Amino acid sequence: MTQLWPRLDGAVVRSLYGELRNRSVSDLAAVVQSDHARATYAATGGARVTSSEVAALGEQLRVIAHDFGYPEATDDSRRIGYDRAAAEALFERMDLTTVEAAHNGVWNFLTFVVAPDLVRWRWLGSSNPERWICTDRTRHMFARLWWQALTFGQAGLGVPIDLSLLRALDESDLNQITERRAIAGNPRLAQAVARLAMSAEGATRRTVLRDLTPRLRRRLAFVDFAALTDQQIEEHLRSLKGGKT
Amino acid sequence: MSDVKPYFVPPSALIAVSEWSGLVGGEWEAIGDRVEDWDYRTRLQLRCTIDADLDAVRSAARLADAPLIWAIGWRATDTGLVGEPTQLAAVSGPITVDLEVPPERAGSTIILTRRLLLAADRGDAVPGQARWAGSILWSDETTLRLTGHGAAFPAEVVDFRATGHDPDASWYLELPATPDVPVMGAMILLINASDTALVSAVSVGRRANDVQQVLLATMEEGIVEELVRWALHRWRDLEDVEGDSVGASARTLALRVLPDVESWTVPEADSMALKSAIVDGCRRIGFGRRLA
Repeated sequence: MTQLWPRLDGAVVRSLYGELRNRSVSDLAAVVQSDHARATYAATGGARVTSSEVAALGEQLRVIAHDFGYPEATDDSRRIGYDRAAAEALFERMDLTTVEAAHNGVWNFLTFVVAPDLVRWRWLGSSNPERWICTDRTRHMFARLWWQALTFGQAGLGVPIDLSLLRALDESDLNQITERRAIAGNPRLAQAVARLAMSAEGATRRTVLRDLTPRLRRRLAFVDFAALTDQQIEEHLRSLKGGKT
Repeated sequence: MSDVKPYFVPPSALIAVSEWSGLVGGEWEAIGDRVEDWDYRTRLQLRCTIDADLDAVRSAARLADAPLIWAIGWRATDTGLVGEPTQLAAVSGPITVDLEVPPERAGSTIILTRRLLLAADRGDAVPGQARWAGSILWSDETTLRLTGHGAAFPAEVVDFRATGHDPDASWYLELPATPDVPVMGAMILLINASDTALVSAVSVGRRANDVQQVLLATMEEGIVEELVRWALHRWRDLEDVEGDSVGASARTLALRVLPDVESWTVPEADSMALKSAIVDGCRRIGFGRRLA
């Protein structure tokens, strides 16, 4: 049965943002909780997670963070490394439907209640409230990781989801693909774009994606990629990249 | 944003479709525009019929011998996720198509799509003929709400001192950095709780007195101005922006408000003249103050 996670919405998170946004990592680590008096849940559709399950997720995210330098300031490559590892943990531990995962309140709860210290540590020096308050799932600290895992994970029957493709992508690759909903909304297409970019010879991935994605978006206006086989998608992308069409 | 395709397509009159029906308690019923009592465990089972004169369709599309398929699918408006479509070889005469929407990948609102597609690439296509597999020759969409209610403009009353906004400002329109994100969740109007007069005006809605109406109209004009300026600032990016997004909404608004919108996208556009044009356009389309 899918899980229902606590949600924190509206004025509550904006008020909490005002309280927490300037605090240090250690201060925030001291206010971590697994429940909040103003949390709400979806009315039906799954089983509510327990407070101990919430705490366990926070703890796992923190254990992973220690591997990448938490609570000390760290560099970009270790932050990215953390993102990939945390994406795996989030996706594994949060059994969400996409409707639940599209609810901003679920992600607000994680940033403001379960792991505010990790947000400060991961985004040290950033004043962007979108990392805290979920208004754009491609930018929020935790929402973007779960959705990246959904988009780039390759599921096999009876085996854990394979996130090797996600691990191979850098931030620029991910931004180019995930910020375009028409591409990211079709995981088979997003994965094919990622594979094509990674196999590029004689050009950087960033160049390939910057060139390919606008062409692909124009093509999406009149080609239904969801109806194509993986092979058809790959052939189409190769021809688009080569500028043959 | 354009619906003009770079190849011949058949007239819609050649294709007839039924309303969608859903399986409820073992019976097929018309579903309308929303599903009652849907939750995360509900696997939607849907059905429709399609009837087409395929010979006439092929003739109109200049695709005499090309393989065509029906692709019946869905996409979620909030997440952008696209479902795997049911596919059937296109033949003349009525056919019945079933579609399942799995709850684990649905959206709060989904759009059911029925499409006639080219099934395979055609290397020998001449200009005017569809060339690529998946090319959409005909399409039909139906919006279906699974959760929640119709959305008003998203707004919230907050304490600006606590949220770090200018404490004496009355409102703040939060807009996303990228235009492709969905409207719901990415755009929100924050109203300062300290501006009790404005909060009261917003609360009473249609029962606003004269003073409250002026407050609301002034805010309305300000919101329109911000959205239009936001759109103008990234106008080229909005040309192929995704539907249901903040970018698409702001672009549509700018086109309605400013008759010659392109002329205002240049950096040297006079800011005061632009403000005047926006307020004028805003009032013309029914927002803001009415002078008469």
